[in-house]
Amino acid sequence: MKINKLKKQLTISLALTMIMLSLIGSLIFMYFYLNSTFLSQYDNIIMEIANIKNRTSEIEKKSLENKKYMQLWSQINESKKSMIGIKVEDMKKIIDNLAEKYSISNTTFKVSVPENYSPSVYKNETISILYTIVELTYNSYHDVKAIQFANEVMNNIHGYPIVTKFEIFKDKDYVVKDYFDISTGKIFGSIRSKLVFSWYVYKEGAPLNSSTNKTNQ
Amino acid sequence: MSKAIVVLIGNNGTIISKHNGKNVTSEFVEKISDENKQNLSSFFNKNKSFPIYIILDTIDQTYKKKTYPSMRQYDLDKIAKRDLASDGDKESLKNYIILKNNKTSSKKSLIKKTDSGSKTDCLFITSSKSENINNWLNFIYELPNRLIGIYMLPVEAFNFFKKIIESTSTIKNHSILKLKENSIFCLVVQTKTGGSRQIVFSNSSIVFTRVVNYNFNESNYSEKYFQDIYSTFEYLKRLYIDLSLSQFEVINIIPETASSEIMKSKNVELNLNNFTVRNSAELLKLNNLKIEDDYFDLLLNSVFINSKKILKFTNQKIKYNENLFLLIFSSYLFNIILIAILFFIAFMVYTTNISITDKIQKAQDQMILAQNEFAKTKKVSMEGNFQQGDKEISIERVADFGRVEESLGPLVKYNFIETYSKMSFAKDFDIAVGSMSYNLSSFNSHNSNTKNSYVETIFSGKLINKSGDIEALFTEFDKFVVEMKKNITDSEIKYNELPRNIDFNQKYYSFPFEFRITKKIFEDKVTENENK
Repeated sequence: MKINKLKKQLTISLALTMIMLSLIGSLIFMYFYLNSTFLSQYDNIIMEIANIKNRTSEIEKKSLENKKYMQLWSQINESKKSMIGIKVEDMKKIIDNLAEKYSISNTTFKVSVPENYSPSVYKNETISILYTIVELTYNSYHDVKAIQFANEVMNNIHGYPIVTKFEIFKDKDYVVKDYFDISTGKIFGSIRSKLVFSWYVYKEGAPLNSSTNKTNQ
Repeated sequence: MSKAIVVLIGNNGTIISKHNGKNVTSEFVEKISDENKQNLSSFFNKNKSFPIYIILDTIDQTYKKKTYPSMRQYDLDKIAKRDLASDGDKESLKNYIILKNNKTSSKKSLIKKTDSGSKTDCLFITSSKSENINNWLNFIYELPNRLIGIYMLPVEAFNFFKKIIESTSTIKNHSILKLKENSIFCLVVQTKTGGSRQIVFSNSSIVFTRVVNYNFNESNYSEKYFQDIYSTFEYLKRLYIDLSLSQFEVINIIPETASSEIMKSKNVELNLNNFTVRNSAELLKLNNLKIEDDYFDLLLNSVFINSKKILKFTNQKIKYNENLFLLIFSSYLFNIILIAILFFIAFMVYTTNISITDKIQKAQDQMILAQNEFAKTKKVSMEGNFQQGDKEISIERVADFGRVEESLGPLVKYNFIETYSKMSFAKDFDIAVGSMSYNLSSFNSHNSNTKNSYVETIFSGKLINKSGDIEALFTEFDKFVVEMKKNITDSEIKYNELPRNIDFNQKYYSFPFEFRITKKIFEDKVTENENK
């Protein structure tokens, strides 16, 4: 066969090969491009669906919570809802008045510096929570008076006073002279009590993030 | 049956036979000339898909045997090629066949060769290119057909020889011809292109060939025939020293008249086997071959086409053409593969596209459903503000209060008076309470983790036993415990039992006690809620 003709055939065949290779290359590129584009589009839609479902679930959850808290709202008394914060002077007045009522003597109380309670605990958004620790010690002449006093102090304090410790000790048994001395104020009653409570109160305003942020009242 | 055109070139002319698998057509051309070139070109152009094989049946073919020491096939090939190249004649067609290696020859072989030791014989075959051959080659080069190569008639006749031996051995009456290891065969043929020829074969390959100077159509050929046979035998005796006439078989493929003439003056020593071209074709079952004369040419061409080729002769131009053909064939094959790949990828792109589009469509439908669900939920969800008296309170604030109440509310509810009053039954016992303590345990005021908080109230004091009697002490203590359990039912009570190993002879007027009353705050609350 003529060599020139063979060469021509070979050239045509090679040209066809090149065309075919470029077509295959284009198709492969198209395949991967379409795949990646479509898959990315698909992934975005799936992510969007997941996001919508999460938001729906959050709303449902929040709605349920809101319903629950709406029911609870009416059961929370006004004293707990008080927004006046921690006022040591007011508290002192309450203690003094009640001490007189229950013949309590030798009352001392310590209040730690109130702190802003971290909003991460209760996820409070609209109000701030303050808290402090109060330690109250006193003497009484009778155990019932000591308990009644403690009980009424707790009932008269607004917010959430949580008693963490309450101790009553009887130092000695009374003799007749003791009754006389108590009535004249020479000695205190032999029932010694110690009341420690954590006190949580509300304060108007959005919460601060730092739990260590201390406020002086 | 392969498709091909065989161009058998001899000194007397050329036969072109076309083998299309079903039948064979042939044309005799005495000499290529400008007059017949056009006709021939048109014939070849019509059959351009048929590859061309050239077979040479020329006189000027030389067969030269050379013996080499035993060596590896690769080394032998290298040396033989070098010897071929060292020959000064660059124009001639040259090639070689490695003959039977003496090392592997049977020990039982009766024919001893003149040379000894383990050596290898190599048969160098050369054919000079006459003007006629050159003209044919130049003509064929220009044709559109593929030229496979050039072959030598005597060499390729070995396939015919083998087949005729095989076919006669299967016929009971022809048990004379058998391919024995120790036999030498002399094939006598007459071709239209080259005349009469003796081709001598061993059991494995050609030994030599010679063109004889008689014609079976002439009157005095019988005498010349026997002279030539004997001279061939004598020549063979030089190669195989123990060769006897009984081991020398003559196979004649000649016209029937010629063979009967030979048989008339039969020499009893010679083993003569006579066949005609026609009955050879019948024996080889070449039914599509139409034999119209007594020449061997067409029969050989047919056997050649349908057999494995033995030795190809080539030149630079044929090699170059062959390489180009291979390249074109490979590129066509590669293109076919590429087309298949192309279709496959196109199909993949199409199906993937459809599948992803479908997936996206489904995902979009799902998104619409999710959006609708979201809108519906949002619509019915409790959000915004609500009115309480004159005040408008936001739901968020209610939730803020609610969360604190849920956690701290139960802890605020603890009533000391109620707990203490539950102990009022103690008035009926002679006891002296020394201390009472209340502890809210596991409560962390910093994170208000109230889940595991519990209240522990401890009463400690002493039980007074005025009689000092130990039994009265036990009775009183047990009564006190029973009363306590009866009055305080919602809590766990722990206490120290009176020791059982105390001295019963002693008087005990008082005995210390400690009661721990434990109440879990939130467990109770959960249980209460569950009960509700």
